[in-house]
Amino acid sequence: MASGLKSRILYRTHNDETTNWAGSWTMLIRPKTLPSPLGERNSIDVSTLEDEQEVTEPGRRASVTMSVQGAMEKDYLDAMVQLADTKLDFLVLYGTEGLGSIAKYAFTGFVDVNPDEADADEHLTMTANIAVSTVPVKITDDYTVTTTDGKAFTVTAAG
Amino acid sequence: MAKPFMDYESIVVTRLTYYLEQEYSARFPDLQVVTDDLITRPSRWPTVWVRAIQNVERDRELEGDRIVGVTATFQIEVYDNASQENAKDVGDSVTAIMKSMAFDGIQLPEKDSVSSVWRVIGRYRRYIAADDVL
Repeated sequence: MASGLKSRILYRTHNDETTNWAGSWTMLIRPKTLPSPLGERNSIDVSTLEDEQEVTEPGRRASVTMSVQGAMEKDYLDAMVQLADTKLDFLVLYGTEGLGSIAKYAFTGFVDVNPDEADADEHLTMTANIAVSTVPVKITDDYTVTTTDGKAFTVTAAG
Repeated sequence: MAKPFMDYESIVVTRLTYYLEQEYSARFPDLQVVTDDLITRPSRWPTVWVRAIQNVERDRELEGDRIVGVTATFQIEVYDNASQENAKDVGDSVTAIMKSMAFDGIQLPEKDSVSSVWRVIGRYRRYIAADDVL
């Protein structure tokens, strides 16, 4: 069991070879919360007139826009504005060492950023809205993540 | 390792000292601003006693490795040995200076006149984020 501390979301410019997640990645935002990259899976009604209650089978997951709120800082904001309409790869890391020891999810999508409401009693925040364009894949044990400064990350295929 | 951000207590004390001296150098040449432990009887009058009484971290991030913001509270007491009016006048100036740094003020109604020492008390609070300019 681990807390959500140092759960992170990284990005890189989209790699055509989407099954290869190795390479250099950068932290997208310093999140305050990190929504799930996976949508809720719906159910399909397969009941017949013979059934006394509705019965279902698993359907597919709903589409997702991850709204990631974090501190509004010029460097991160400027970078995200530059990335608008650019196809990106994203990597979500879970685990309090900040390297995804609990779980790693990778997907492709787009990011758009907006400043949040300014409040006298809170620090400025912004929200990165990430459109999830491919089904996130769990790559926890397939790749290893390293970093020296907590901003730039190197992902390598696990030996 | 990330250090806590600005020493805002020093900024507050420096501003209070500077502006109160500007305003009262002729009228109250002995006015002093102190941050020592609780005063029983100041040696100079008026005395402005500044105490940072609360400093609560807020707005934590998932990274958790730096202080993003705090809610800071100061209690400032003004003592004078001549009159309640003097203490109140300096206290009002303290409030104006604190408001110039966007602190919310609470003037406490308590008044003391024990042993010819008059006192007014104010509490000032604001949220301070890491990159704020006071």
